[in-house]
Amino acid sequence: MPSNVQRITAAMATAALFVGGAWLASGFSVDLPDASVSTSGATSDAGLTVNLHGARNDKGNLIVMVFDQQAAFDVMDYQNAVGYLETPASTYPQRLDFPDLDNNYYAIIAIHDENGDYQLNYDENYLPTEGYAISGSNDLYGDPVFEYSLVEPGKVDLTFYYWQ
Amino acid sequence: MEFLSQYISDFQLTHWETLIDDWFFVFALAFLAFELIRYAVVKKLNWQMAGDTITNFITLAFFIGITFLGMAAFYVGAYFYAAQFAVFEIPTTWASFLIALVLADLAYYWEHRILHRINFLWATHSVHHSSPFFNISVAYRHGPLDGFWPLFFHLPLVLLGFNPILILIVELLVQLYQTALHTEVIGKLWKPIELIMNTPSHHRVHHGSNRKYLDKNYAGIFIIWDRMFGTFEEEEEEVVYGLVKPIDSINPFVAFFHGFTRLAADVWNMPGFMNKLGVFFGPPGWQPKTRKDTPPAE
Repeated sequence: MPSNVQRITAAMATAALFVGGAWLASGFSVDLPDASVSTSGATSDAGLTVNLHGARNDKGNLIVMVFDQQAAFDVMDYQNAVGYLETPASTYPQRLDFPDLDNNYYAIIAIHDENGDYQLNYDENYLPTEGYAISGSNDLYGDPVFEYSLVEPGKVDLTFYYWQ
Repeated sequence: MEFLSQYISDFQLTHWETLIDDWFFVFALAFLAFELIRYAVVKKLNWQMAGDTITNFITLAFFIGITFLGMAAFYVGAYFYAAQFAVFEIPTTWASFLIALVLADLAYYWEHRILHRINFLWATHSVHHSSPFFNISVAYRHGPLDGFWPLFFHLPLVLLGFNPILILIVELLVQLYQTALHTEVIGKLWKPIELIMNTPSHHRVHHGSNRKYLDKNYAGIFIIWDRMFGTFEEEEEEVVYGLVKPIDSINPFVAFFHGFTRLAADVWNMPGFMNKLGVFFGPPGWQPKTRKDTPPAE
């Protein structure tokens, strides 16, 4: 049976490992370059910054759509998006800035439009054949939910997911 | 080492979780069949073992019902709520995946240790230990609240800044690793492995009711936590599986609820309010210092 000294030492060691581990993990991020594209034409730390990770190749474009209305979000209606930017695809992380989007919660959809048709393509089982990412916390096996996708302005990291 | 800084999609984590969970269960069923055939060959298979195995899966069904109907939404909701107050900004990378796995294993060590040392928590976890056998089906023998208590031990990782989905998947990996340890088929492994990793041998000790094996080897993946914190015991004498006070039943209702019925009876029968609290919050077998007429543990 451990003594009280062992118990206290063990608890302190655990707390130190937890905090130290979290601090260490926080250091493994990518140094992002200046914005690839920005609605203001220049890198800006104001408003919304979307960092895109995990594009599997450099074919086509990376498209980011920002919504503040559910109706537009549900059908990916880019014409009614409050923010829209695209940049040539790259396997390196890309930064897209929306400095004017700073006063609301936003739902973000990113698409790796490999074939350049400006749509997220699907197979016969209605699974996307191109990479995509959605802000917030959505269920992989269900349709994206607007409320679950809302995030505050600031830095948002999105990583592309490919079904195939 | 560049891959350590590569980001992982939440969808990718969910995909892995589903894949691993489903295929591991298929593996476990196949391995159980192998174990039962082996017991039959060495003439150890009997009706009690067969009944106990079925009971294990019935308790699993009860557990899944309670966990997913009553607790899962609260559990996940608590994680996402806590994530708002994160101390560090931790990206979901391979590095954070590996670090979270180690820390979740440490969190599991404490969860497991405390489940054994506080009576009202032991009431649910004792279900897992109530089988007098040791095969992979025992890993699926769960108590009513076994899916609830882990929340409190892993929540600090979310509060520190780890992605809630990442924590859910590493919790699953810790659980599945030690699921595979529930077997008598594998003896002791290569010494360096036995030194660092939790193994079937170490976990057999954990399931022993032998006096020297009680409250030992709480580890999930890494046995180093037990070695560091003074709770390690080597497998030396033959393990007698089950509880100190066996339930002597393969009735799934008895197996699933015995911990709470025993706890209620112990609290009821203990004279004095403070003593009742002692039974509830104390370790299994707790007695007032003035009474030493009963054995100290389960």
